[in-house]
Amino acid sequence: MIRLLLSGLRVHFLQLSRSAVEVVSITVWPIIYATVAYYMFGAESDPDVLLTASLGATVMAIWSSVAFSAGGAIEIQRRLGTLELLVAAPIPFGAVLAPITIATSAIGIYALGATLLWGRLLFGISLHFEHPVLFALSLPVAIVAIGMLGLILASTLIFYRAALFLGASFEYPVWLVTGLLVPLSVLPGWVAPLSWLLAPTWGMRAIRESTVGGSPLSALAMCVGLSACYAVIAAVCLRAFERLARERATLALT
Amino acid sequence: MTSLRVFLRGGVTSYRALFGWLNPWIAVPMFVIAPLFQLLFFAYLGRATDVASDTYFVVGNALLAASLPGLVGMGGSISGERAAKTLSMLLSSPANRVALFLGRTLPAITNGFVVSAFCFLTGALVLRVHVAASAIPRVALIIVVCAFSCAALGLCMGAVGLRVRNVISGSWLFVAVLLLVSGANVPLDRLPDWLQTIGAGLPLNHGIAAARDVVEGGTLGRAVLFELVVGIVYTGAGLLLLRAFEFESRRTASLEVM
Repeated sequence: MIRLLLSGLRVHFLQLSRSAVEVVSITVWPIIYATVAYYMFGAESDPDVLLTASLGATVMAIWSSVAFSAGGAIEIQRRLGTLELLVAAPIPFGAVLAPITIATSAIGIYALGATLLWGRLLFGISLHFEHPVLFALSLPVAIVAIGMLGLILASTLIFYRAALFLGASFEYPVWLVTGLLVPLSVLPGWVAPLSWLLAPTWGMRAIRESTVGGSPLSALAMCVGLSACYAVIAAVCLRAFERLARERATLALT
Repeated sequence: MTSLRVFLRGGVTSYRALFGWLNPWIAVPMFVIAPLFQLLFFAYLGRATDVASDTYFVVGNALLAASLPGLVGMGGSISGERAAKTLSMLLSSPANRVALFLGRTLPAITNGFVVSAFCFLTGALVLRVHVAASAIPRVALIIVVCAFSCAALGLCMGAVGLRVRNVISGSWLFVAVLLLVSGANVPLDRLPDWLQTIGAGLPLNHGIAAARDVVEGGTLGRAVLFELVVGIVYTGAGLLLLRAFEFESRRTASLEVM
């Protein structure tokens, strides 16, 4: 199973990395958002604020990539004609789908490189990491947690005809309620409990606190816990989908 | 009369056929949910950074919403002909080229206007932004002009689509650039001169400034005329590019080559 997950992750990551469109969009959009944030916060702001804005733009790009791709992950396999083979394989379908959504999250690594380099070169933002080891741990943990949230999207939007676009419409709502650039303190009070259920909140918190100081361990633990919960929910949804699709013989139908 | 029919009915038919987003399953997420939350996102970011009032972001982002159908819709409705294998038939027809391609901008402008007006209305209601009733007709006019200038840039993108494989991604890049340089979210005086210059030559920049003036009680100034000029220039450029790329495609026999 672990070999399956790792090789699936590797294959899908390489596949996405070879798509010029994917790489350009995953690097250009966060640069734009980071630049908007730099100018809105004021380029002369506290360097920590600007560095946090870069990291926020990175996590935004990670979620964006997941929201766009995960919603249509099953639809894409259907179009490629591989869905029946994957469902018929003697392994849980979720174990095939999870590497796809995690890979779409993992290409956010390009966003991180692009925004940090952009901030450093154009705005002179100092790249100082308070806890470099924890930062190195926070990033993959956040990527996996956000990818697992994508797995829930992939498994719950199956019956929506244009899941790809519905997934994409979750981009701004999740950016807003998870406090990636906008502090939760300026949002209505009911948003905070909602944000606790979403992995980008804790992923961002872990990355931010390992960068500018603080204790990222609790946020990391939340990412791990949420990833496990997402996996269980997605497995239940996928099992129900698979049973329905077999009963109705609609697996290959769009 | 034939040209008028090509302009009106041909434009609407091709836009409906080739712009897949008009399907309600896609239109609601992309034209209702996404632009509204974009507006809210930047309005709250504006509150956090103390950049400007909610009115500033409602006006800016509502007009920015017109860029999506204008750029992506127009780009797709011309380059989509090649994907649908109808481009050669279209270009071998004796129809007036100006009517043929300009007709496609009309539904894109209407689409942009509806999306933008919806964003303006819902954004104002959600954030409790007050706009004087007397300003609304002038704002509506500015929205039309902005939707036109975005569709005009989309016409250029569509023309480029005759030679470039993935023009939709290029259109999305313009949407990203407009987010930064149009003045929808970042006040223009905060941008460096070179970004301000780029912004001034692109759609929305002048229109957004004009709409903000009107909402604050001003009159329709020269800014809206500048926006119109930007739109006319891009329309002319788009028609020239279409002509040039059509000629080049015929010369190199690459009309249907993806």
